[in-house]
Amino acid sequence: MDTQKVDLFMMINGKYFKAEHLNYIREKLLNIDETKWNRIMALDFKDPNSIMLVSLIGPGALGVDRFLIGETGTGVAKLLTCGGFGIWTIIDWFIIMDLTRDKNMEKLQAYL
Amino acid sequence: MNNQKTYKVIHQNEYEQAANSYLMTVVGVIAGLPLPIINLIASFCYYLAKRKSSYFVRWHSIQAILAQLILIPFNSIAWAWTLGIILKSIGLIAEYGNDGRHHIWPLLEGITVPYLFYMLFIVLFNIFEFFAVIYTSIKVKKGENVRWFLIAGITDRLCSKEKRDIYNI
Repeated sequence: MDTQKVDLFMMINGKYFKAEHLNYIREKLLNIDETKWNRIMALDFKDPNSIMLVSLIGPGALGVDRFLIGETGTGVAKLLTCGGFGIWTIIDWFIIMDLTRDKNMEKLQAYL
Repeated sequence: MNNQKTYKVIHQNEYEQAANSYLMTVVGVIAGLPLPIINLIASFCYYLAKRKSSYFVRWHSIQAILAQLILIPFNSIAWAWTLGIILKSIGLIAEYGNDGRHHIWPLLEGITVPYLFYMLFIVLFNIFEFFAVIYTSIKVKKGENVRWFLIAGITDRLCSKEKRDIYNI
């Protein structure tokens, strides 16, 4: 793919991925077919900061943050256990941002 | 023979993730103060979430678990001892509760000098561990690889050197 397009993608979407994965994404994007550009640009990535906000306020304790990033199974488990009796809620404050970035990476990986 | 070693650069983000494994056990104290095992569970869950991360993050997550694991036998004995005293007192009160006198003495008789010394030791040990964890977290966040005495060696053995984060190049 064209370097300018890759740079544009990295500039717009870089914040949705882990910083240590950016080199991998850039290398892969440079090597993929031009026809995938539209589909990649149409991908809807979740914002880690928004998910973190949801996790910190009330709904996070009921698993809404997990539902938002597409982890329905763990979301239901968190809902039924009232945030894992508080422990899971605390753990999620620390991991939800990276988990969101991992989910975004999985989404992008399907096209790389 | 090529003796040149290649060193992998650890990203700033990885320092933060590794530091969080210690920091989380500290925050876990809020939820788990009456039951210190909660911190261990929280550390273990954090490791499970980070098991596909880089070696540096996994290594520190395991060290954080082991740091919490040291406390478990000591805290469990303290809990068992305290519960034993309370249950014994309840038994005595149930037996002699109808004689019209106050029964605070069975509870106080159970609190012996060795018990008080042990509880003091437990409190000091927990406070020391708490500050040691905070110190480690700060140092790791700055990029220093803090190795705890004895635990670090066990962590080396436990932590797999396999590259699990395939996207990190």
